[in-house]
Amino acid sequence: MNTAGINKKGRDYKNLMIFQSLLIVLGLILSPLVTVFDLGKFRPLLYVLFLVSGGAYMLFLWTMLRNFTKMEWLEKVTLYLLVSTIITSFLLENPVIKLISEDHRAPYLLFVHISLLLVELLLIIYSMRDIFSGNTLSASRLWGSASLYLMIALAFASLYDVVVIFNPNSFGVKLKPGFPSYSESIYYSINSLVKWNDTFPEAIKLVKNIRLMQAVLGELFIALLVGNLLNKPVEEKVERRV
Amino acid sequence: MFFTKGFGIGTGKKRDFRATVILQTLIIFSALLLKDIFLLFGIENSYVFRDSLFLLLGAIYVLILWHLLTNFTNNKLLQYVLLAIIIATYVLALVTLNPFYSLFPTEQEEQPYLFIIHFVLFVVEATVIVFSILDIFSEERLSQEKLWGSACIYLMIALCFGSIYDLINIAKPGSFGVPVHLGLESYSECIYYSMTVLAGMDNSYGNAIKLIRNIGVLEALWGNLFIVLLVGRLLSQPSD
Repeated sequence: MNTAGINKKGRDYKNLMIFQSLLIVLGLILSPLVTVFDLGKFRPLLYVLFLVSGGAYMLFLWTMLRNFTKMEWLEKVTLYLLVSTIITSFLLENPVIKLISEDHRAPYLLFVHISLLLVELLLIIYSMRDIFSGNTLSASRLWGSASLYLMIALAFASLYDVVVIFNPNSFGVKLKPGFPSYSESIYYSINSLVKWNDTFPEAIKLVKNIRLMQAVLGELFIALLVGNLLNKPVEEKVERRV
Repeated sequence: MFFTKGFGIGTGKKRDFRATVILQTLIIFSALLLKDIFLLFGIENSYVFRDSLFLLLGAIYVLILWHLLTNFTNNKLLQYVLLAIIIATYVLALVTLNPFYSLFPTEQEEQPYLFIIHFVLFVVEATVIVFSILDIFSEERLSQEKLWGSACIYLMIALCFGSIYDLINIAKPGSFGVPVHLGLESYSECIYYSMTVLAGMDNSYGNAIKLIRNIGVLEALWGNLFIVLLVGRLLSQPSD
């Protein structure tokens, strides 16, 4: 394995984590911020900010995927999927023109979240194999573990959102499919991952069961991660600086 | 071992980190316990003791924060500007928060000043956190300095997020769903909330607004991730 490749992967993990954090923070903070501080007139701007960071995140998922696979068709399919997802989400959520009426959004939203979920799952599998294989450098392993943790949160958020799109009452309160439901799903997903207090006791059984699985996965992941971080990487000698 | 070797000796950053940890512990102690301990013994106006001690400790704390920041920059001008800002903010805090006399007849008039104080505190703490994290997770060999540094960051995260919650509570009183007086009363509630979140405990603020709830979950995620990465970092083989 050449050292330049390793360095690039470490850097990519780091950047991916930055994009993920940006998306999560914006998704969680934006809409309550607007309500608390009466920023109604900035709402379109903030939505555009969220969309742009989401788009950047999705493109970066593709860059990351290229580190792991040599299969050209997979790269191409993923790229087309992500680009069409970005375009669809811009058409759906942009504050300027409403091309698709409120009643007909569900299939498009489903497409966005299912394709996002697929790509994230693919990437989770690849980076798990990479991180737990034992030949990654310690610094990029740290960044990789952190970004993997956040990616699990985002993937499950998409999963909750798919459930909410089918049944807007899934959390026990009625949510508007789209940005509000995604924001709530991110909250619920992180909440389950860190096993914080349950804010939606009225959620349907399916959501509760997914939450349980996510909590177990989170616990297991932490245990494996600590064990893995303690391992000495096989190729520590090759290159230290990332 | 730590203590016999420790006090007084040691290089700059390590000494600063250690002093910060001690002060943070004292500040958290005075914010969370002092008032209620005095109340337990039936002393009226117990908040006077808490506020005085809190402000006194705060003075030392912000000076040490400044000294920590000077480790990260060599620009003399920047250092002095920072010192001036910190001292000015502290004087403002002394005027606004002291328990003996009140300049402002109503809480509404205090609001903007409280907001400025907490905003400056938040910015300074966030800067220290960012620089110290970059320092700890860099590839160098782990030293005692970094151990103190990570303890310091963990506590500082609690205080820093406490400042964020307080900023929200000042901008929109009643955000926690229960009436809280502004000033140190509200800051100690915020520190309490922040620490329950960081420790992953259930808390008694079910009616807090969505913004506080969402920032809380971010803090919980951050606390978890920090612990895991830190354990990994502390125990991993040093690359010599």
